Amino acid sequence: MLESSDAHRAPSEEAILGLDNVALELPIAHIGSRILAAFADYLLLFVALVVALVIFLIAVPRLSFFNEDVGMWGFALAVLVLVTLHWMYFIFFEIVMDGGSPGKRLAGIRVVSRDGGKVGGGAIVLRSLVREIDIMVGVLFMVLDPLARRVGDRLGGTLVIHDKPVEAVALGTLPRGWGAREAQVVEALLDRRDELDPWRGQRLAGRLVRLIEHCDPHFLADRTTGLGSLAAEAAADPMAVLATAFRPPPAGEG
Amino acid sequence: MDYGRFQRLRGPIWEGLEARLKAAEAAPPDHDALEALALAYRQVLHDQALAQSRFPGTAVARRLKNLSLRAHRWLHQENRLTGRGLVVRFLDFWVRTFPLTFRRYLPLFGVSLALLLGGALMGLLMTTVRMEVAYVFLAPEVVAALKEQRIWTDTLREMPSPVVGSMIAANNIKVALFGWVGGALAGIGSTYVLLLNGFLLGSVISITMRFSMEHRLLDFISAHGPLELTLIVVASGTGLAVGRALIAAGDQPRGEAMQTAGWDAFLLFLGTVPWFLLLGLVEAFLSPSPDLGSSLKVAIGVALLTAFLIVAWNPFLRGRLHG
Repeated sequence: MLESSDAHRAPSEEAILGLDNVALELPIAHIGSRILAAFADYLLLFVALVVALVIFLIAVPRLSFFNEDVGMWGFALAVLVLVTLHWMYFIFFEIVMDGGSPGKRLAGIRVVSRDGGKVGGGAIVLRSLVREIDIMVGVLFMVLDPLARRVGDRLGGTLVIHDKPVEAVALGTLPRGWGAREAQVVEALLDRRDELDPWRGQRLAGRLVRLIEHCDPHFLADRTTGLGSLAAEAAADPMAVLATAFRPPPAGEG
Repeated sequence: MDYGRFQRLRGPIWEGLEARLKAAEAAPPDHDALEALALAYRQVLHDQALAQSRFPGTAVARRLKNLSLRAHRWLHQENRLTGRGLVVRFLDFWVRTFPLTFRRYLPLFGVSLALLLGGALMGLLMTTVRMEVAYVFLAPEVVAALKEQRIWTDTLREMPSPVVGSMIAANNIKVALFGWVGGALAGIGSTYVLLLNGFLLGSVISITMRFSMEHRLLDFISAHGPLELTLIVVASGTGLAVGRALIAAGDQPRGEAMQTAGWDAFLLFLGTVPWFLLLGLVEAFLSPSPDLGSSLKVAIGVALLTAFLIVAWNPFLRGRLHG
């Protein structure tokens, strides 16, 4: 019934080419989610630094009590550990978590190479080394670039993309004459039904039920046989009618 | 094909790819499993193109895009190096990669050296003409101590060497890092580091000469100074390379030119880090030591610089100069 206007648009700058030159659009993470991730990471790093500092402040004087030299080496070790912790936080997590970090996981983003592949260790180190510069000018670079690359991303040849698992349930079938846009509306409603105000959710579901009855009068009746009287059920709990009618198909059923 | 039929017919392939990816992420697949994964990726990639075109924005289109990206990322990865491969890569870096990159940027190191010497000359002349210029860098108490024939480097002897060593190494790396990443600011940061360090050096030499203390200063810096200044020149030279790529990218897109220069700069920076750590130790343990004679300190300084230049140039390498 309705086709999205951007269905046949040319691949954009965000697109990469997969096998057989099939375009694959990268879901670029822009400034909002990246700042959220950075905030969470720096908060965690700050806590780690404070904990390490407190441990050293307690341990070093005790070591000095036994032997002054040992205490001094302990102090040197403390400087080394704190500097390493500061510099290695992002490098360590991005290597171990495959382009992620605790903050990035929270924001649902991940670092990938420019061609959408797994990011290499060298690129991770490179993008992390210029982080201090990016704290000053990175936001400006990200705002001006359609791919939201900061200086480190440009040097390392990396991108940051959204990487959240899709948990939305797909509709098993569509009424006659329905297209992608209507499917999106119903999927979004069923996906968010627990978050919506019940009265508002049922009102939206009721309007959709009436639209379906108008487009394809037999659709609901054929798919809600277990619900008893369709009219009564549609009036009492239209959300349940929609959920039953659009339930996913059993796998492999032709 | 309608939305429901599309899912019923192709759904098992998508689930198959999901299962294969999960298994591959847990343990490396054998040859057959890898081929099956690549085939499933190809099928899902075509399905996602169809879904983006026919059912854009739907849960199926989003799921297929996510799955395709996951498989694409897994299939497009560098070989993970372990054991022997890691050792070979490490040796190759010092024998080939670092020297070839060092040779390629030699002209920029010349520019870098000229800026440092220019700054030093300026510092020397200005401080000779007006002694007060030295107060910009040195506290009045330090200058007063010079008048009494005491030099500030003596305080390093009063502090424990491990502490001094770690502080100096961290500071040296910070200066080099700033010289390098300063290139991202169109080379301004690197130029600043070179001029400032040169000016500081010239000014300090001038003020010590005024109080006839230059021999004490030279005695202190002769073991670590030559290599330290060389490393600052190299690190800032790589920063200038990044700045040049940003300003004059040539026929390449600016981003690509910056990426190439940035990668080379990173390799050169990596090659200088161990030397900075070594310098931290020399500066903390050997330079302030009154037991070592001046001639021995000069010999150590020359030996360190020669060792670095041999590693950086690698005269035994007969390779491409522009590779």
